[in-house]
Amino acid sequence: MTLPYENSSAAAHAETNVQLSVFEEIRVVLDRPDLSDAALSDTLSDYRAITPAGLEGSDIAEGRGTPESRQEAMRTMPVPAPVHALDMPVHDLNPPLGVRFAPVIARCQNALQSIAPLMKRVPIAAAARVKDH
Amino acid sequence: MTPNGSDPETISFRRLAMLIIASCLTIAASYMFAIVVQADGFDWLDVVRIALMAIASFWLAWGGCIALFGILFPVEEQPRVSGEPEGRTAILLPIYNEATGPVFARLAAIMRSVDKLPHSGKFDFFVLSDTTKADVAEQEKLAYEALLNRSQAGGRLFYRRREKNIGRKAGNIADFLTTSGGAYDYMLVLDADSLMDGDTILEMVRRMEADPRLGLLQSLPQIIGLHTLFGRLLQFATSLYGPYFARGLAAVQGHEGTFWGHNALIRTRAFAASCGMAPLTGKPPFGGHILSHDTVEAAMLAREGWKVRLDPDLTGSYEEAPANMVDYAKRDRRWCQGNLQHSRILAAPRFRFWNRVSILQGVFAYLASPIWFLFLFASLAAPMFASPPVYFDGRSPFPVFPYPETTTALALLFGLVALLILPKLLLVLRALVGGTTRDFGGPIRLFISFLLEILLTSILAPIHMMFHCRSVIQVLTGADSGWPTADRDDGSLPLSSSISATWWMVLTGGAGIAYSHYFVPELFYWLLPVALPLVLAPILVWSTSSPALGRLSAKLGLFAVPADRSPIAIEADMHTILSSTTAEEADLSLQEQMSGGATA
Repeated sequence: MTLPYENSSAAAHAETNVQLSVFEEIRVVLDRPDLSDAALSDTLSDYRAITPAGLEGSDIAEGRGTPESRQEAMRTMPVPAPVHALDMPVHDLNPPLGVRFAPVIARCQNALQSIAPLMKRVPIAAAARVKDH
Repeated sequence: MTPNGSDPETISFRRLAMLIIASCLTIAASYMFAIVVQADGFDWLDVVRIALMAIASFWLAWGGCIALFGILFPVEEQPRVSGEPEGRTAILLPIYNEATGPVFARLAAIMRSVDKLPHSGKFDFFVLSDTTKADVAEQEKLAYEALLNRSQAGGRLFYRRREKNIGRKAGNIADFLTTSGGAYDYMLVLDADSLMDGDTILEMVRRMEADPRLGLLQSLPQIIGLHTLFGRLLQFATSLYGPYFARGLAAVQGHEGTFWGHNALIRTRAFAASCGMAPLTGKPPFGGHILSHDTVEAAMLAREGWKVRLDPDLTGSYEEAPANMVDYAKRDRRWCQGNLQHSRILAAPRFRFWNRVSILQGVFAYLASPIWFLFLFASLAAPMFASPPVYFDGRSPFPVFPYPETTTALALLFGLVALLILPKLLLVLRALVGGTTRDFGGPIRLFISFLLEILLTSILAPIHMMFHCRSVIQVLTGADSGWPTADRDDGSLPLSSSISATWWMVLTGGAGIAYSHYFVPELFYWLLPVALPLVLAPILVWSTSSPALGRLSAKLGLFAVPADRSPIAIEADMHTILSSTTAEEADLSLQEQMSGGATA
């Protein structure tokens, strides 16, 4: 003898198994192994029959219909597009002049530094020395 | 290995040659014009006129050189590769409040063509809707479900709608990339009016895979599906001259090519990494989101070291175009804003030389008309400011007569006309000699069509010039006076719409004629070729939008294009699908009405 709760648990388990196998079937038919169970569950719940066989989302989920009619219905299901985001960094095409000419300024400064020892030495102002300390 | 024609030295040499030829022609035209205007001495207005003439003639010479280079440098044969493509391709159809039936019929035709390929599983289709009208969005959803059902393309055909169309088409594509772009190696970007053969798409993917540095491959779309007189004129001109202009462009731009926004295959990862654009500081028209983004995206790809290439030999790529002058001007108004905005990014960091030239060309495409207009205006004003001739200047007891420069003036006129006509004439002669006239109705009809095309485009040129001038002024002042809403399926315009779009040209042309008649009679006949079409603008715009005249020209075999002789399979397929879906919709609507009537 089986207890009622055991029966319902087994039924639920069986139902889940059927659903999982349906999801797998959809993935194979549509060649979309990336589709998640949640996405397929949503798709099935929203799916309205549009094929001649008249299979609804619930019919497909419960495994009704012939293999051909099921495949036909699956191929008309509006499943979500693959989710695979790409980063798209934003480039500033009109940067301020300070940014745009920064490399030129840096190059000029480098050039000036290289000839600095050749230039006349200028005594550092007392105020600047005080500020440094 | 780089083919001979596209190695950097050859490309640099061609660019230099083009620049030298265009500059020489400009200098010659400006010098001749300076000789003519200085016959009675210089003044400040003459200097302005010479400067305007120099800019305008450089623009003409540049266009002529592109056509000439198209004749001189034939298309390089790209190596053909066979086998299954390795990467996956997303075919993107961005739409925005479009007529749903034709858009989905085009997509269905492309899908059928792709499904005939042995590797059709490598291609997915995305309808990326930016539609703002709720009723159109509802129709799109229904059309998508119907197409999904008919084509059994679940898992390969997707529809996505953005509630807010931030960044317009560029934002729409960016949204795709930042959600699904990583699942695809390539994306084929279409327009709502694009059509492409599956074989062409596959060939593009193979070329992309053959060159791992190729970031963008642009095909040469052929204009199809126009039946008005203006439309047939446009089809004829683009079909006969377009390929040579494209070859000329390809010959000088090398790997720093341009992107026309559609019918192009793009490497998704390269595009995502290189082409994110920050809005420009300030408010529109010169600030905000960058419009006419395609040219800029090509430049951004090229500056990151990706090749951007135009392959004019890629046939099987089609698009539709405006069927009348008002729709054409509306489209130009949109493009004008974007192209003028590009003046702010002309000096963007690290852009390649030729990309800057392309951007400058885009700006000039719209500035050329105001320059010509200012030149005409200055030429009409010049006699008013000219001092009367001085025969006795006090240095000689004998009178000094101005030297007549009629010969130079005529030489300049013929030279400028030759710049406009000669490239086209060369292309027609090439077709006549090369025996390719059958596609254009035979040698006699081709030659008559050529003469008529020159005549009609010359008559319509002042109207285009005025539309461009208005667009530039509107962009600069931030104004938009609106356009008549008279969209008809056959592309025709009612006379009232034509009048409402061009009444101001009638006034301008009439004022020009009256002014020249009273104040500068010596320029009266010179002004007529420009002013008369403006006075007749409503009639010209209305009559050229006539499908009846278009049909008549087709019956006479004029403005014939290759598609007239051998219809394009994918276009025929699209029309079949469109008529069948329209019939299905009509049946459904009839059934609904009948069931509603029975219930009542």
